[in-house]
Amino acid sequence: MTVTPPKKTGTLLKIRLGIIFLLLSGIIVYLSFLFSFALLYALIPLFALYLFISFFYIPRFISSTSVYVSSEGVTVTYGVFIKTEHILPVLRLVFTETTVTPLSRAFGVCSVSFSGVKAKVKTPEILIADAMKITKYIENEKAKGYER
Amino acid sequence: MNDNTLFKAHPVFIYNMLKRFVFVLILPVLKGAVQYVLYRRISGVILLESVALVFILFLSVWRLVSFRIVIKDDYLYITDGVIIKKRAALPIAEISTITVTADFILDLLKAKNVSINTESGIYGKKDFSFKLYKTDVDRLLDMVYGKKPQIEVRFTAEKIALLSATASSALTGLIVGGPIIYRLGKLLNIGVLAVLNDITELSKSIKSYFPPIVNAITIAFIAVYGVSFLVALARNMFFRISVGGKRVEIKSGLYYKRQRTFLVSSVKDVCIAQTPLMRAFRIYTMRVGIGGYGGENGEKSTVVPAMTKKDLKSGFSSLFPVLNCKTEFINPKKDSFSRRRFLLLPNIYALLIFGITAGLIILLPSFERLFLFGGLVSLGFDLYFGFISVKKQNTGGISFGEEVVAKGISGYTYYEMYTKKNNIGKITVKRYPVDVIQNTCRVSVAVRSESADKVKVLVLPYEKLKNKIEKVYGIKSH
Repeated sequence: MTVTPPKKTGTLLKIRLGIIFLLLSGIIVYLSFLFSFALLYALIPLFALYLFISFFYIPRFISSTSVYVSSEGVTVTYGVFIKTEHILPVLRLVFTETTVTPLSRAFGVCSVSFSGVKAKVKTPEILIADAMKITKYIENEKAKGYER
Repeated sequence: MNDNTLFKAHPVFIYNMLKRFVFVLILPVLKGAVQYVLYRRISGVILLESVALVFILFLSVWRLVSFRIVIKDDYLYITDGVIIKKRAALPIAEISTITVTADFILDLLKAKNVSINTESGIYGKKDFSFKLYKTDVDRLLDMVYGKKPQIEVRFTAEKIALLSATASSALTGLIVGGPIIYRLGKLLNIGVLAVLNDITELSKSIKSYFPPIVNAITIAFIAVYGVSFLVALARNMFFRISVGGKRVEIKSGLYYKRQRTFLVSSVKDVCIAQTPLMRAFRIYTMRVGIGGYGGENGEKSTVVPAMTKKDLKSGFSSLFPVLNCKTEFINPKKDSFSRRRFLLLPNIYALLIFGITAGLIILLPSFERLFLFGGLVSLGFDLYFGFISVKKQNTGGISFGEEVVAKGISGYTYYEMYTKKNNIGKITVKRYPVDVIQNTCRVSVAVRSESADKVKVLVLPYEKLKNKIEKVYGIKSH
């Protein structure tokens, strides 16, 4: 079973980034009123960085991410500049954990973290239904493993 | 197990929830500070503080109400959080230990601290920690581990005292007792210096060759050791172990009750240890290593406080069959050259002690008796180290088979570690130039989990050991 993050995960990440950008901009504007308006120039690289992450990095990050679950193990792949692949054998997995924030709940997505012996891998937000499917699948595979 | 049982947190758990949000209370204070710096006036801080308090109280109550543990189909589902909601699906088979603790306040409120540990997670940090009703804790343990153990072994007061005495150190006493003495001194309006003066006065009354400072140090050392002993005694009081089916339960504590439950199958290794004090009484302690990262005690649990080795093996071999194994040991070489190798460090230390003591006496003759005392104490330790080094050669050994048994001495403590061959995580074979000449090696075996037991054996015949590892694990050394 291969699961990829939906497009709305990208939108969610962009919203989060937007909030951070607005907060930082607010701080810069406030400080410029206190000290010098020259500080407002800092908004230019900040805005450029926001545009770069928003329109270049996030779409590529989303399309590069995939979670592959089989009876053998879980493989989580992601990365734009540095490609990373985490491979966790199912039998070495200890527990799974789903995390939902108010924003991600509104988008119907959640992240799943796989905790193994000396390992923890967290996926970017995927559809809640997909997360449930993965968790159930791993539960079944582990149960089969215990029986063996 | 097809139950679908729900557990809710005890209301006292709200305290833990509140602790996480305390930082919110700092924000109005910060706002007030900034306001004062900018406008030289403060307004609305109390109102904001009240709003923040109501806010964190509301969040904590909401979080407490939404916290739940559900046991369903051999899984433990733990749901926590309100703004960021987390739901962990933990297979019961993956639980290493469940530690239950309670101080007298929790006892009064009929609540208990529960921490669930697995092999995953961060070392030194409990994986899941919460507070439940006393009755719920028993229900939870029964559901996770099966019925309550029926056979209970209690230990006599002397054995508990022995365990406490051997587990205590003057350093612990200083850490624990120091602040108490300081506070007490302040309360009674006597400073620490006054206490030290009293100790010096008392030591002056003891007649000996050595100066009063030596007696003062000795009295202070015994006093802090006494504090440490009392703390350890309170911790180990009412120590008992219950065994039933596959479940083992260890309880102890006077003011702070601790209960640790685990499955026999979670045990990675059994370790029999003997500290110098125990050696004087010819008794041993036994503890087990469990493959889960816990809190205070890490992964080790003391199973037996004090017993003779014969009683330990006969009494617990049915619970831990690994104790029964009979295998051929590879022992350190016994020739005189090897003996000299074992005694090399104690000899070097002895020369250093003689040299330093003599040098100090020549340089500062007025402190002659003090340096002599220091030298004699160090020499005493070194003599004991020499005795231990000889013991290392005589009693050390390792055996590889379906079970791995390693006997060695670390520091001043003797260890005998029993484990299944598959539970060994790492075997390290080291050879120094003298080992190459003598065709020997030193080997250390560590159990498969972080912070677990590790035993080192020196001057072992290299070829014999290499062949044995190759035969048991099928790994050739290059």
